[in-house]
Amino acid sequence: MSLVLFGISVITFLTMTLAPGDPAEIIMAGQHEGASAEKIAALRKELGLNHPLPIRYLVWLKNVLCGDLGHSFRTGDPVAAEILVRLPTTLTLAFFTFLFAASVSAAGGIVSALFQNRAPDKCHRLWTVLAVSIPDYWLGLMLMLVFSLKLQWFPVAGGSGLRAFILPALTLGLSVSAAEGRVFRASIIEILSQDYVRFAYSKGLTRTAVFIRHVLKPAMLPMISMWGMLLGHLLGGAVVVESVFSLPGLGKLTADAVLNRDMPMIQGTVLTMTLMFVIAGQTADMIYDLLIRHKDFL
Amino acid sequence: MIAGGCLTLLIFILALAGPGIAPRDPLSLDLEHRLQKPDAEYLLGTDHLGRCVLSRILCGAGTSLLSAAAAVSYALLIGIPAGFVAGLGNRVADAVLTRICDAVLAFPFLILALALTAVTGPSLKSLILGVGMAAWAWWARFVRGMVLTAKEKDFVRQGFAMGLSQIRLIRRYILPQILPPLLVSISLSAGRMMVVISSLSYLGFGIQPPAPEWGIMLRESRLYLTSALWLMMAPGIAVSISVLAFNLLGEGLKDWFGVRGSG
Amino acid sequence: MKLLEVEKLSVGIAGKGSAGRDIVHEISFSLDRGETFGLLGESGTGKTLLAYSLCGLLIPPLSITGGMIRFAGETLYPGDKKALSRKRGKHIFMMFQSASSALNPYLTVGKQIAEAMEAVHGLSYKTALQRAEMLLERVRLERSVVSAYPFQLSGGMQQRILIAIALGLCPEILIADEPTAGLDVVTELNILELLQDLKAEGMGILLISHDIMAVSYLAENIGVMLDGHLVETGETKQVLASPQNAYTRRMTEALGDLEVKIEK
Ligand SMILES: Nc1ncnc2c1ncn2[C@@H]1O[C@H](COP(=O)(O)OP(=O)(O)OP(=O)(O)O)[C@@H](O)[C@H]1O
Ligand SMILES: [Mg+2]
Repeated sequence: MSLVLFGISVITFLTMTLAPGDPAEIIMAGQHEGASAEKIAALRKELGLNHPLPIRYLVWLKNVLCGDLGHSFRTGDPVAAEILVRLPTTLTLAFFTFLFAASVSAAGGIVSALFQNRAPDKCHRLWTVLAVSIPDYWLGLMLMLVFSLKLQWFPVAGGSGLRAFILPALTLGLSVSAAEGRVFRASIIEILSQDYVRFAYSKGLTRTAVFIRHVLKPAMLPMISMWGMLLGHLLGGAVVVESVFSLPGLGKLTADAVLNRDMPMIQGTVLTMTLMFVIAGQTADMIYDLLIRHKDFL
Repeated sequence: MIAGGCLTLLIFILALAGPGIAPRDPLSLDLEHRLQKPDAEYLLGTDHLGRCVLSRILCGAGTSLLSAAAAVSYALLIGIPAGFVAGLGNRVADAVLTRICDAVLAFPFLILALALTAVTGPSLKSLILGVGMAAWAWWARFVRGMVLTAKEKDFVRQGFAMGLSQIRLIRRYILPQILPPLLVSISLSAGRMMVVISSLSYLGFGIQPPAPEWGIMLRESRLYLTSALWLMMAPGIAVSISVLAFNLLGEGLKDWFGVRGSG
Repeated sequence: MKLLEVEKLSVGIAGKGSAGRDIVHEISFSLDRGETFGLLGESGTGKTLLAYSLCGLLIPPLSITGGMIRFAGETLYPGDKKALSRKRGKHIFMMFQSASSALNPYLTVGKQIAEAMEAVHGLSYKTALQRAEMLLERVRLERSVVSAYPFQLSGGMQQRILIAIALGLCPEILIADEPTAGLDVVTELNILELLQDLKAEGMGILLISHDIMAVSYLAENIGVMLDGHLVETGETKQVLASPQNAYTRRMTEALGDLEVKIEK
């Protein structure tokens, strides 16, 4: 775990530091003042760019641990503050997407597994292949066209309140729910073939009781680790979807930062999102362990 | 499987023949025929600069397929050898490689790809490099897992005990076992790479205008969302169908080889 | 009229043309309260399939392909598709061949005993759980086992759990599919004694086993299956003393040889 965190910090630091282009020159270029050689040299010294790499890494790490992610090349504002402002938007989006994906995938997986190899299952499987084939950004544009521009049910872009999150969450959730539905289906089918399910029938339990107690609940277990992995996908997808719908979240911030080659900002957002991803994974593992140890939740 | 295979083949042929059969030059501007609806002359209409959409789609196919293929091969080129070294090599190599993979995989994939792209600035080359560099670790872990499983099989152990050389063992015993799931994953991942690359192109991180590419075309079309629907439909459907083709191919291969849940 | 009557029951696998075939052929036997019918036969002859078919637990492509099953005068097959499954638990209960895979690894033993009584006898869950503790004592396990998970128990203990479930359900017919397979001799005897108790309570037991000793301990009547056919039936003593069928003869002879060798 700590090794992974160390690895993350090194990778983040190196990719951004080794990027071609002298940060001092970039900053100077952004300020439109006469960028003399002395000024650049002074700035280099101020930024600590003259030290060897390991020292620079340690200084950077110390700052990061103190919550100082540096200042944006473009605006000069502190990166950490900007990220905090954007964070709630992305978290809300992730939450709605999760709700949507979890419910749709659960319903799809159950129906598909119960009607294995029959019409509903075939439809579901076809749907899942289709859903993962449609790119997020195009789906977003289409939804926007139909529901915002034609039907005017939702604000076109930006907008305020929770309504603004519905279309983006649908966009982001579609492919995820399809992928999850497949895993859930496989998990249910695997359990349905277990001897203990048949034995539960032999005890005289009703179909519903057997399905809920002996099939559904164990089938949820693999989904929990899947949900942990999901956040990584959501954060990545947020870059695309937030840009399409102009939602001012972390994803949009990252996308803009990459377009502007605003290295400290990229570094900050990448680090934040990766940490969120790692924490989500750890939480999922913890919940999984907890449930395994106290199986009585069933 | 059949459908996926045929569709993939068709798309490859279209991509290869695209520049040849395109009715017009995908780059030539014709400001008198801006935003024309699809008609007999322009089968898929024209865009905001009067360029023929059909020609741009056909010529863009090559770019999209090639860049996805390049990104996948790039990831495979690093990932597969790394996986073999970790799976067959000594403990130290395995431990080091596994740790590196863990760290790389701790990043959300698209975020890492984006960050790596940012290092060299927006261009198709850096996009492909970035995506490939973000993806190799997944392959390394995948191959390592399969090699370890293959190694545990009795007849492979027998081979080791008989003192066959490593190369021979890999070729004769291990490769045949891991090839089917690998092919399935490659096909599925090619589809995913197409989505990723065209998404990032859409955001403006990949190939730069005026080159024809599906993601870029969609990016340019978004300003004409209401007035010129065809501008958005054509490339979107093109991407979706290509990705679908790879996914169907992958699913078909999966059924064919009888591979269970991978990727 | 006996409690359970099975006539010419066949079980087959569905399939087009020659792919479809019968695996179990025309089995007939009957069983009354307090009786035990022992079913012998080597691995793969279809004993378990026969047992599943009596509980309506066959999973497609397997299904009953012919014959008749009557329970207390009511025809369960042929007829209403649900008739067999309605008898499950309350009237006919099957203890599966492998106790370790029959118990759900995610539920405590107590819950698995209790849920059966809850479903079949309409007990409240709390009462059922209390009764489960008592049942555990009856099968000579500690009360604390209620909160254990199956994988924490040995094979013999798991088999006792199945017997506890049978005690709780109190069905008229109990099908015990190889209840002593894989157990040491002492544990085996314990299990057989418990089954003897169940028999004394008036359950009719269909005891499936490869083990002649176990079967002759409990069963008045036995049947011997070979390749899906019932090749010999009759009173236990008689069949063992003067087997008619070649296969049964070989089986009893082998047993005799073994005893002679051990005595030497
Ligand atoms: N789902 C199935 N599809 C096809 N054949 C099956 C299926 N289930 C069982 N069989 C076949 O039916 C035959 C009888 O199986 P069964 O489990 O009833 O044997 P058994 O007498 O209980 O053996 P054992 O003593 O090992 O438990 C076997 O030869 C098996 O191959
Ligand atoms: Mg059996």
